[in-house]
Amino acid sequence: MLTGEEEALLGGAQGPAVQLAMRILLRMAQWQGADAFIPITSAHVDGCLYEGQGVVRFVDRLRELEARVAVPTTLNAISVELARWRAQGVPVAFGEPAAHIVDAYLAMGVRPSFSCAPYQLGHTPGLGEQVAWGESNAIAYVNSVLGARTDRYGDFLDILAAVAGRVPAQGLHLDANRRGQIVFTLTDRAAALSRHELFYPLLGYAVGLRTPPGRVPVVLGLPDHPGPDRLKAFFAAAASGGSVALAHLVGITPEAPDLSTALHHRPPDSLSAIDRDDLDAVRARLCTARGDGVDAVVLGSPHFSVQEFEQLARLVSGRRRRDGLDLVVTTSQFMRQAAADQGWLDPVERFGARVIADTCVLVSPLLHASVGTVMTNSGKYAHYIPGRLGKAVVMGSLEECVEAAVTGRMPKEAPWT
Amino acid sequence: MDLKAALMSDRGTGWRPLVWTDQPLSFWGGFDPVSGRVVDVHHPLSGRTLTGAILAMPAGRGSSTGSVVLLEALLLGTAPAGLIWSQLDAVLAVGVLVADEMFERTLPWAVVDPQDFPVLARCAEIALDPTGWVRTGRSAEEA
Repeated sequence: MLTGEEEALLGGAQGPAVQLAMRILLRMAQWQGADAFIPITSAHVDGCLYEGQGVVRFVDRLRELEARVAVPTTLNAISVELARWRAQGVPVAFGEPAAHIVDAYLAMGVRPSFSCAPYQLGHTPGLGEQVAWGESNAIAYVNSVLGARTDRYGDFLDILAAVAGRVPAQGLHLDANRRGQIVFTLTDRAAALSRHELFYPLLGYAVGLRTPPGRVPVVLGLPDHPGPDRLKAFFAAAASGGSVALAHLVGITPEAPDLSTALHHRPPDSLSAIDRDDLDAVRARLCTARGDGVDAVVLGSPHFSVQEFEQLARLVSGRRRRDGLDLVVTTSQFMRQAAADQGWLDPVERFGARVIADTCVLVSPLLHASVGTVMTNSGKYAHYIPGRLGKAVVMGSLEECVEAAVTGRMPKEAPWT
Repeated sequence: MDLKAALMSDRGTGWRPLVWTDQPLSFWGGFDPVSGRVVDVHHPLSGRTLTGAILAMPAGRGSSTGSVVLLEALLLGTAPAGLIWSQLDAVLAVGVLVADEMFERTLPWAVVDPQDFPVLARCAEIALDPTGWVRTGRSAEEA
């Protein structure tokens, strides 16, 4: 049932952009079986990558219609570092349309955050707040870690929801659909690895792989709070390995103070264990490289935080990466500035890292064609690099990545040490 | 055996080759709209061309930029001829809606009962009949 106000919006009372947004949202609501809309308080927009003419034509059309966002809205990582792409040697034929898309969004009132980790930049809606977020890792993080409520919005619908200020009342916006269903219990052997940095991305990927689409997984048996960066790694990997948009980590995330609450006091749909062997299998699946040579190391998917800059700065202090090996750290302009202010950027750059803001290696032509094997500590980078860039991947902890950057070789196979 | 669709677009397709998978595919990072091929090396359809075929997969997964990739493929003429899910993929559905509302490109789709979905694995060609049926006339053996 539409309210009188919504009928008026569909009739064009707030102009043609809101009318178009409402028409598309209404058709989506009908397909999804929703019979009402819910007002939202914020949005995060991910339809901002230059993937071809489609996005350019989409934003130009919205701009012609004088679209404006109705709620505070951040923009995801974009396809170039906006202020420096020409100096970085990005081809004009790529950089210009990429910047054009960004200009169009800024003209609609979207904030220039340019990050896939807006939740690390103060965009942190509270428990129970209704929002419309795009980008798979951001969706999973805002739902699970912050307890705000978004469905898994595809690009385009996020900005249309921001323009209309509302979303169909369905999916993860509704209490009942946030019930944990698929329970994964860590074995003692797996839980014993929880202090290892790769534990969280590998566990996230395993949970993503084993959770049926549209279901809500619950993880039981995490021994201690991992902190925001490891949660970021977990959820980014869970959303890459599968379609996880919400997961409850018992004792850690806000809707899961205990198992029974996470399950809404009902029996789970399924129960299974995750063992150390499962994590090893995920690691083997993600590592597509043969041989032990490493041509490039990439860090920062989702975007590197100031705490991660601090860890990296301590590991590289007084050292220098191998000549000819590329080391790229992707982050937001705000985190790069914060790292500079705190003295963590300088040692990282002196080590020989290229610190790139606004974008990442998956969406911007940052890695040279001659790079064959890439090492990363990110489950999300590991998942997408082979398909997007045609390069082989090996995963290692931040410390192992630094060793590889110095020697050009993967450290000897010594998982979990 | 023809399958009754739980939900279907207003438009259908003629008989088209079917590409079936029980593994959800992320279009962003998994499908190249220039070549029309699956590029996710972890996916069982890796290397397959989807252009002109009806793609049947249980649901969507991965990146929310799949809608952008699908729109791009529709504008370039490399998109699948149709989509079948056992659960509506809201990400690709947005791409379908935006293509229709803003660019006059249509992509027929259907949602079938999850219990019926495996039946399609045996089909070489199918047609989406806009009266609400997935026509499965010819089996892989006959075709």
